[in-house]
Amino acid sequence: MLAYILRRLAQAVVLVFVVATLVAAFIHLIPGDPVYVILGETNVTPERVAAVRAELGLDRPIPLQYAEWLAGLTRGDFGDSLTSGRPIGGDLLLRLPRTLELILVSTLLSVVIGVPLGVLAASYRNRAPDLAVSTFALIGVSAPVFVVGTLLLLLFGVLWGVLPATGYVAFGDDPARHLKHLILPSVTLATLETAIVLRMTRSSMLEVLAEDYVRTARAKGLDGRLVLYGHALRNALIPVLTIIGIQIGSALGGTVLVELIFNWPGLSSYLVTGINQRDYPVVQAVVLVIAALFILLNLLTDLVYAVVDPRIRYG
Amino acid sequence: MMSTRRPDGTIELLAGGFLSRRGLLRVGGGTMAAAAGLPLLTGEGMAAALQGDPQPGGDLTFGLSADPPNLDPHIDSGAAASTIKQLVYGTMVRYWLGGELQPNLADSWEISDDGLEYTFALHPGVTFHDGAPFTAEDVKASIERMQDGAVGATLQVEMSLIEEVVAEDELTVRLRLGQPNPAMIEYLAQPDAAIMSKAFLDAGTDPNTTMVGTGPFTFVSREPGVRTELARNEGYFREGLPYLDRIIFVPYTDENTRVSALLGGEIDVADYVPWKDMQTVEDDPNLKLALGQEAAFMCVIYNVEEPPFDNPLVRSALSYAYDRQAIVDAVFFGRGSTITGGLIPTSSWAHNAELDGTYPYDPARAQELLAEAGFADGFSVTLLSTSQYGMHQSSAEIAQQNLQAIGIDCQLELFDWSTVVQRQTEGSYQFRIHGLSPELVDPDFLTNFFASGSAFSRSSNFADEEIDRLLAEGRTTLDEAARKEIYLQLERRLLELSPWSFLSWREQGEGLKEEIQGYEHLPGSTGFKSAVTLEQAWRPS
Repeated sequence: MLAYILRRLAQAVVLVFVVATLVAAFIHLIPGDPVYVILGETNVTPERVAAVRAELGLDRPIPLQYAEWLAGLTRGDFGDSLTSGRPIGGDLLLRLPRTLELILVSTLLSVVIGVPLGVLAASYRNRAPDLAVSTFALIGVSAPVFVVGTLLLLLFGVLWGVLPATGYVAFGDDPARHLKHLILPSVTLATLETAIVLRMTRSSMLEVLAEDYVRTARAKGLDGRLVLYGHALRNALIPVLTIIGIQIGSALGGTVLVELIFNWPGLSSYLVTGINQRDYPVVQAVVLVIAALFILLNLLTDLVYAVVDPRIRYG
Repeated sequence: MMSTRRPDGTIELLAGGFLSRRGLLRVGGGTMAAAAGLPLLTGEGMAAALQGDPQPGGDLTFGLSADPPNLDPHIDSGAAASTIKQLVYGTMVRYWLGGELQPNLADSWEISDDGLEYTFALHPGVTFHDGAPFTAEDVKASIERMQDGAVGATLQVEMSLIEEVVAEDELTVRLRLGQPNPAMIEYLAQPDAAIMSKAFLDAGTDPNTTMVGTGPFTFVSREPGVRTELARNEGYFREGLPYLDRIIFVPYTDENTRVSALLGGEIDVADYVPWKDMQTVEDDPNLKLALGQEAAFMCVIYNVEEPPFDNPLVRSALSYAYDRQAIVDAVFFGRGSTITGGLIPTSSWAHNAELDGTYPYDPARAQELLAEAGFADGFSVTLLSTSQYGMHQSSAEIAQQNLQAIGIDCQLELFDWSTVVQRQTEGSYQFRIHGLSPELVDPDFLTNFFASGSAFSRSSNFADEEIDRLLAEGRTTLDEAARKEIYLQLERRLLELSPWSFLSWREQGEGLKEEIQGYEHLPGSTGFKSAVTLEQAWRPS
């Protein structure tokens, strides 16, 4: 097991390096120049452009800049933002937890709501509860994040005014307000996740419920609820777990829009600003972190399989 | 020229003041200037004054259209950043209600008859936020910092017009210019001409990470992308001000999110209200709009080395082709006005009314001129614009349709803003749509746009000896009537050469909660400096 984890971690490091290098190459390929962004337009002179470029070290070959940035990484130094001059590591530490919080809360919501509803739908197959739940799931899967987010914001934030429309309050400053601000963005993010978890639970349950051992369990007179939760659900959960693992990863992408709509100062908004300002080290650092997270999540998902299904062993 | 302080605290510059159309510049303090001014909120502000006295205390949350990329007061990094810097730092002179210039760190000044020497009497008893007293040495250090090429100050060129700064005594400072410049006082009123503390600069503190000024608010903390917090300066030299305890700036880069936050009550003020939402804000009983006319303009800039735009006749023809009213209506929801003549705004003493109507929307005339220039069958061109800002893209789309209607094959190149900035700075475009604002109230703002060697002229390869001559004459002539004549010739020449096609003025506005009192939108292009009035903003407790 340990050897397996170590091997996967080693693969992860290589993979993260490849992703980071590709992204660094792409961000330099797109047109635009951070020096012009910094200088603005009214007072640009060739001398000043050259001066700023030299000051930021942008006049050196790109592979060299990249190599130095990587060297810094080994010391835990993500470099400084080109536009604000702030150390990127510090900003990452501030922003990463906020994005993770959104993802965790929305994933939690999707499991707490999606799994029971999926079981409900499966056990009432083709009857009214199934129809209602499946309709909700269809809407949830089809509605894009920005539509759900804008709609929720308009209804709860602007028209009814029951929840803060946008913004962020640190938990340390005011826990109650922090949680209030958390509701709309995490529900928005959870809508799609819940729908997917729900559909997967339903179909997986239906499959398992048709298995022989379930019929046997029923035939020997076990309580219907025990069969449903004790026998069927446990086996139906494996594909659901896979989906949740993938969902957490794609939620990292979903946060780009959610953070924009709700002005949530997380990692994604940092990335978007970085791209807009051609702040190369910021983009590189954020993508590196996201890639690492994604790969780590996949590993965790695989490990959780073994916990849920004792037949699965890694060696 | 002399300035004298009047008993009511306002200052007059006597004798042929070349700064104002009245030949007499009233640099007003307080409500006198407000009554004479143009801001639409004046009426409400006065009503509020009748309602009750300002109440001190309370916080204000300000939704900013951009997160300030840096805090250095000498480096302009956009209107949003400037909003914060203006409240922390002070300038010698400042724009105040009605767009009038008001003494700030300088109480008064005398200008020698040849217009070369400026002697400022500084306000006594001013301290920086770190407790250090403000003296003439700070003025000297600040101006010299702006002149230093290594700093990259936005006003480096303008400040370099000052040949010598002499601190005569603690509270007297004398500037000597190489040649007269009627806009000098205005340069010193720019937020980018902030006075920094000599001790702070000498200590080598990074002005990008903290701010120490003389303004009504002190810098408390900042987290990029999240918030910047300012607190009341207890030692502010204008006694009793400011009223607010704290101002919290939160960046809302997405305009729709910013408006939602305002409508939802999360923020008290939002800058840059999108034109499409102005009606909604006005109709909301809890909100009001602080609005100013002729704040900024849209234009087409031609790269005059790129055929066919190397031919002035072609540029002139195109100036007839744009449907300016359509741009005002469709892009700015009617909140603007067309520019058919010169660029000097109607509110200026130098506005050339006789040039209005030079370029009406006249596609037939455009086609005639094109034929005359040898392009009867049209040509193919590419228009550069950005997809990042709706007003740029929509204006570009209308321009494209207008040009196609007269037989020109016009393609759009829409990039994100960073790419557009690069393309335009490097001059790799044929023509482009732009939105700009005059930095000065004085017509000398044209120098920045059209003098050969200016950033804009370099990137569009424009240079014209006669324009250069007229610009130089305009800034060295002291007599206002003579200046008006010069600027008439200048704008006539500009319209004839048409290096740019001027399209339309737009309004600019902030949305704020009805209860917030004292905030005023300054008129015209000074509207972008309205944040100074937060000094007198208050909210009922």
